[in-house]
Amino acid sequence: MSISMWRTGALLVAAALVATACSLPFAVDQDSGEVALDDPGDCIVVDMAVSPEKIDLLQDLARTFNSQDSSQVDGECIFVRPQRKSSGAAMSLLAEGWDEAVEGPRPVIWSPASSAWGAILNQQLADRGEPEMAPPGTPFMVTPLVIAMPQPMAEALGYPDEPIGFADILQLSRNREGWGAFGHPEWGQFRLGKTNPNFSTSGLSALIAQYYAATGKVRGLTVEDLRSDEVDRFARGVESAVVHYGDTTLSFLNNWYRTDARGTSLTYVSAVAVEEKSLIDYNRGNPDGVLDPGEEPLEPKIPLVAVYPEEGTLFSDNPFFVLNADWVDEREAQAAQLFTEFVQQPENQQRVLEFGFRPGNPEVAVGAPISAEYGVDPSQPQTLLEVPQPPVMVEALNRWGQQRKAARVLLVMDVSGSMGDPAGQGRETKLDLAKQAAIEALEQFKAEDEVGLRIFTTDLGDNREDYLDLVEIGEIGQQRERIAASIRSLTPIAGTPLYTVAKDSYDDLQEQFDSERINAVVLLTDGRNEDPRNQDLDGLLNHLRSTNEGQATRPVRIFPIAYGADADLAVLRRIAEATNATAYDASDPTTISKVFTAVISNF
Amino acid sequence: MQVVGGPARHTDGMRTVLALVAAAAMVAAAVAIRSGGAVGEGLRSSDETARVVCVTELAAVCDALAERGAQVTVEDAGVTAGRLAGPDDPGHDAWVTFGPWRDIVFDARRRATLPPLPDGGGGVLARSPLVMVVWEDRATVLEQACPRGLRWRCIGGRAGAAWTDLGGPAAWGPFKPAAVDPTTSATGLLVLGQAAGDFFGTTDFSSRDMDDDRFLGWLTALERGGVALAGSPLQRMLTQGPAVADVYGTTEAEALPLLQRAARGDQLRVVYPEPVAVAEVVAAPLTADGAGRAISIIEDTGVTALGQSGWRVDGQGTVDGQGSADAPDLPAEPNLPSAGVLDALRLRVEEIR
Repeated sequence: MSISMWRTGALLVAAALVATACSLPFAVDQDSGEVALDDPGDCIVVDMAVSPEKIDLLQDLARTFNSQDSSQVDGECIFVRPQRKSSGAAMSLLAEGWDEAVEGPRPVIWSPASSAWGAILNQQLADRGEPEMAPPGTPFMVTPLVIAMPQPMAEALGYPDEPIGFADILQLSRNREGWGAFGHPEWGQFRLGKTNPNFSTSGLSALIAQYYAATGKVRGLTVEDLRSDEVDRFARGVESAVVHYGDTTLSFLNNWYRTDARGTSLTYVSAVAVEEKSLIDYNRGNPDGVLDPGEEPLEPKIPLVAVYPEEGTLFSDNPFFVLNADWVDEREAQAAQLFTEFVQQPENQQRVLEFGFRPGNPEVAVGAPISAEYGVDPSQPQTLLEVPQPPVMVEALNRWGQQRKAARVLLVMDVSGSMGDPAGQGRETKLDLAKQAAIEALEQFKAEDEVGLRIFTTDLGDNREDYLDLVEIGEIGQQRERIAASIRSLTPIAGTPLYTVAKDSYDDLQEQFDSERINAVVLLTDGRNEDPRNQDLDGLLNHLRSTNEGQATRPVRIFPIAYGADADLAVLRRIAEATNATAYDASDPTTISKVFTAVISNF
Repeated sequence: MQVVGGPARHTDGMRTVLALVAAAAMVAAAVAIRSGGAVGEGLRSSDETARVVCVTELAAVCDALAERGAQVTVEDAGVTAGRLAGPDDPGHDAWVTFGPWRDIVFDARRRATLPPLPDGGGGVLARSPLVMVVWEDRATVLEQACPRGLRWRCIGGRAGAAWTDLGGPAAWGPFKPAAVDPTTSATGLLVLGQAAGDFFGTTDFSSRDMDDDRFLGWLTALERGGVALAGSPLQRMLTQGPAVADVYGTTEAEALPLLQRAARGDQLRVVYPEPVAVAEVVAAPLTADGAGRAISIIEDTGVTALGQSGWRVDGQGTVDGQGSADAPDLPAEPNLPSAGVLDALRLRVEEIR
């Protein structure tokens, strides 16, 4: 296995851990009084691994199914138990080994967002001489990949009269004149949002479309195509326009929504490849697709429109794979098949429309909200790109690891006294676990990425500084071990000058801004600001926003990690949002390794 | 390969799911009446269990047989044919397939000087004409581009062309006729055979005729410009729209029941392209000792399942309750090239790829 493949694998496994940590594995809706999904009794249990965007829908359907008297095999009741697993992460776990102690039960049914993940899984198993695990699946519901753009930007490109393709978008992303070429210099450079294809189905589909655009093909993509110099140059050019990556499209949609409220959405990002369903959620005023209790959807001021690429696109078909795995017995397979039929019933397929998907059962008509009112067109798409053969997809993922935009990252670690507190029941401190996780995370950067290490606490060194640069930013290929050694030597010291270190780290990267890279601060802290000299949060946020908005912006993102139960997650979220980034929750210190991996997926 | 013994074998696609539910209920009732026993008990002890393999398109037959206790396998015709063309034990007592595929295996075994498969069981169990399913708006444009009618010679020659060249809008992209893979699928090979017959103007052409440059150019255009689909292509068309394919070649048995249930079924037109050709279902015996009882259960139960899943049985002129006003009278013969020529067509397609 190559290093890049190993890194990809490690990334995926760790991401799966994050997905587990961030979800409630079995019990749901504890306050609603609805039938819980945590007590199967003596029933045949059908565990499911389900991609996140449909977990609510499937848990609802599972509750209905479980409560029916007819849900049985040979007189034994059936209990379907969906748990959330992102598609790429589940694929990796099935390929590499599913540890039930960490991940929860192994699935009988796997429902990733796209059948492509099943093909990749089977290919990886076949490469090792192992039998296929994902048989042909039954599509549950479908949604096409679209290019989401703010309506004025799409109209500037001729939408809806002029066909727009991936090639147009990708060419524009490489145009140094940016939106000035279309009479809108005030929108600045064309900025592209992409998700990490190792995690995200939208990211994987967009990557395939990108390679098709590079070759001028709409089918028959080959490994040789991907390896050509011309395609490599094209891909690197496109990646250079990327704002940042991420594990899901929700980061972009949430940030877009927030900047829309501030009137700055047009300079945050110009286009993002998302599923049609997500665009509908956004235009309904629910960018993450989840309405928390008391949350009222509020439509954005500037809606997004769905551009259906003229070359064609790909559908996410949300298959149900009843796995050919040694842990699935015949009764479980039969029970799984009954649930597969249940979700296809017309009354249940009507429910998928409520969630913005198109039905997988042709008996159910496409209807609201798949309509122009929400920026989408039910008569589109008119043509499809061919899903490449599995070896081509595996090669695409490997090549993306090298072609993605390079990063320039300052790793800022809290070494305040509280980091010496125990992390859990064992003898390890929070700092011990953070050091271990940070060192592991270094492996996920590619050699060309530039990384530096800064620590912070009050009263550092002879001059009683608030922070100290242990390793200056430089190519990690040259100094990976040096950074790791510095991390190993860290010890807890004093207080937490959070605001000062956040501002100064941000300013340092602004001064050293490199437009060819993703510029970011990863800020790990276990506490709240404990610096009487600087308690000006509003001043910090205003400073971050003022230098992160506008057409001439030099965007530096701060990705905070709230580490341990005492971390001030609310404040860290505001800091992240002020830079159009995302805060990560590691309130359980034992999840820090997984969270680090998710953070690094942005680069 | 899917191997399931028991009453709960299902394949992908809503077509199969729904057909199975209906078929299983009716078959169960029939078995109960005939045997006086409980459904699913199985009719024989394990050493007498009939072992049947069905082509994917005829999964409903195997589903019904499984209800009667048979051990069934459902797989693409090309997979079974490849296995049967070798010296290994067939592994099944009978094969429910389309006539030409049985003959392709007979020929392959003869060429390989292997013992012939047993005779018998050669009667046609059910028939279904081959059809094109076309989006109505596309059909209207194609009628101008193909003034002699929607026939495969014209369709194939235009595969991969821009719709703008055919008189359609640019948004439709390239023209995409589709079928299931002719190298592995029972239906796909028959559709290709019908198309080639239309190109030559006769089904009586030879593999040598396929060396003709005009034919090779036409076949290459069809292969490279068309779409070879897997799974349930018509279901995909109905859920994902014309993005999947503009024209799809299949059997009436697959098309009509699904279109009649589908919400957008009225947006698709069923065309019976000239010259009309017919897929015929046969049960080919594979073993000397077990084939008899396997064929018997197929004729007893499988034919019922075929009738319920869109196939014409017992000389039906049209499918019960699903007849198309445009359905022509069926020819007495399949009106397809010989099995040897069809097999040669498969090889040509593989060469083009």
